[in-house]
Amino acid sequence: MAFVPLSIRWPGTRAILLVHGIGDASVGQAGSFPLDALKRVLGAEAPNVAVYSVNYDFINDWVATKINFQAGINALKAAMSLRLGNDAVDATIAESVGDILWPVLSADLRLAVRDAIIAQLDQIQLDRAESALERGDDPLDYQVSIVAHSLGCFHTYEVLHAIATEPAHQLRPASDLVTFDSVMLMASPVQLIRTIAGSIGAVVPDLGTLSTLARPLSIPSETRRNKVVRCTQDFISITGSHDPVGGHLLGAKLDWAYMDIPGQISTIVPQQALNVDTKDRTALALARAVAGGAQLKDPHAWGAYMDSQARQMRGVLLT
Amino acid sequence: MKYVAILSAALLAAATPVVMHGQPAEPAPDASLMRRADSLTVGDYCRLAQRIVADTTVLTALADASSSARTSAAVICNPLLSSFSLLALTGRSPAPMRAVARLDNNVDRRAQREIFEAMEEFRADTRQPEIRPLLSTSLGAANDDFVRIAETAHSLAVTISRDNAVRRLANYERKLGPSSARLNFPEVLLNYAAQRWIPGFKPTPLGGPSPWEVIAAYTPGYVTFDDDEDGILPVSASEFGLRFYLFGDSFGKSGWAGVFLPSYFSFGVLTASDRNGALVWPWRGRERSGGFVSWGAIKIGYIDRDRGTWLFSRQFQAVPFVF
Repeated sequence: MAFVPLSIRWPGTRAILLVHGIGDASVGQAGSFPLDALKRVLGAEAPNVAVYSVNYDFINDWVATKINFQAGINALKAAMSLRLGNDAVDATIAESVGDILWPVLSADLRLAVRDAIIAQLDQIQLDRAESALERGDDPLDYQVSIVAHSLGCFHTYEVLHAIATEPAHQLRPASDLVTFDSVMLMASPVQLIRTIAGSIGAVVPDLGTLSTLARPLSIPSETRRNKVVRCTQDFISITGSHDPVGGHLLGAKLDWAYMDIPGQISTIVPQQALNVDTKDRTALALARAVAGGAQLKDPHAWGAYMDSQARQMRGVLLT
Repeated sequence: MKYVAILSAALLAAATPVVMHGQPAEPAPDASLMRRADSLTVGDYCRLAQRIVADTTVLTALADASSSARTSAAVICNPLLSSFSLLALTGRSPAPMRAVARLDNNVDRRAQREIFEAMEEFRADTRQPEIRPLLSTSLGAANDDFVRIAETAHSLAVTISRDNAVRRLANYERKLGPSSARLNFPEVLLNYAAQRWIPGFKPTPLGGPSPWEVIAAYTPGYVTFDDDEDGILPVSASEFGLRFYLFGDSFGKSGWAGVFLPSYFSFGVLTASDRNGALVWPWRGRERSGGFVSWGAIKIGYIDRDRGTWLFSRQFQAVPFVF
């Protein structure tokens, strides 16, 4: 069955696109996306918000079955282990976190996921127009936000750069008037991928289509008639103080792994309460999370990020 | 007859149904958009565009974009296309009779495309956040009509973009998905190298995946028939060649239809030992070379061995990522 983007007639004037990360979603599994946590965030407004989700696990499955990139992935994990400190626990952490790195090794995978998200964004634009016009409203008064987690942040970052400059996608900020109310990247590994994949850049295929590596990190934008228009005014990074994927380990920021884009709004969520106070516990929490979904003391859990930042999210998503 | 039986067995094996793993969802409903696009004409757009560029307040606010807006309005106001609906302009519905009667002049696909592009440019200039309040004042009640027609024209362009992305994704599924041929480790490396250094092998953002794939495989699953011995004899061979994926809705069928309309075909050279048998090293003894072709999973090879030998097989991997 071919991929068909989700289409929703909007109940109100807002929509949110959820883009999942590694270990968050599998086709057909219940609870793939933290919808309950999002409902708690939105509160009484939840029924009035159209919630889209794009699932690309099936593309990961295609590539994993078709080819075996284990040698390349091992090289990336070894590079990350070196960055962390290169003891046995670092290797264990790298083993869990390293799964976010493999899309850089396959241009087919990257571009296929990109197309899935672009098709969904196009459908959201169409749904917005239909929903607004049938009520006599202006579609440009209706708002779309993106909330991504983990590896989904990398794919979102790549898509936003691609659509900001490519006319064929009809999603440019200035020429097509597609600006997002907000883009929230939770536990973004964009800088981590940039550093690790950059260290083996010679073997990364098709660098030109990889914004994370090809140019300095930036908020995606389009320049039209000498005016720079960003894809969003609220480009928000939220990560935990103990989440290695988001560039932190045991409360310390890892400069080589933390995404710090000029102009982004940054929030670091204190995670001392999780009691993940050693590398061993970090490795254990991450390994459990990757193997079996969100765990109680997982510093990387998407739903936990939403719950802890509910007030900030509500303020961004509903104003 | 025995060759026919072998070929039939291969056909049966190739007709195994496959399971696709796309994201389940409802089909995208474009019906209301298409109905609306069929009810709005280029002439409607032209009248509103002329009102907008006739307003000096709006033109002043447009500043550098004012000349672009005027040019776009002039292109939109092509009298030969004024009776075209927006849908007809995209070629998704027939041209109106009045337009058909004028087909001996300059009304062609190029002119239709230019008008469509002018509408997109006009929208980009006049629907900017700082211009919209001025337009609302300038057009009054007609502002709703302009919003409706400008957004309808834009939505038609968005459907094309969405459909292109979905088509590319379907092509990726054809090449990488469950009905594609699995690669062994040398093939992974060779295809990786081909994508990097040989033109035509790498995917592109707007073109999607390349239809080509390099084959370098050890295939222990060929069978042949020897008149001097009883039954079917296994043959092991090495294959070097190319696989070409057949994109588009007409191909990539499953079940029996997949025998005739498969996902790919391939061709190349093969080498086999003079000894028959599964898991025989192809270069052992007096090896012989020949060629192979496949249509989907069904493979037929020929090697110049003894009096010449026909080989039959089906595309499969006995050991994942190995052979």
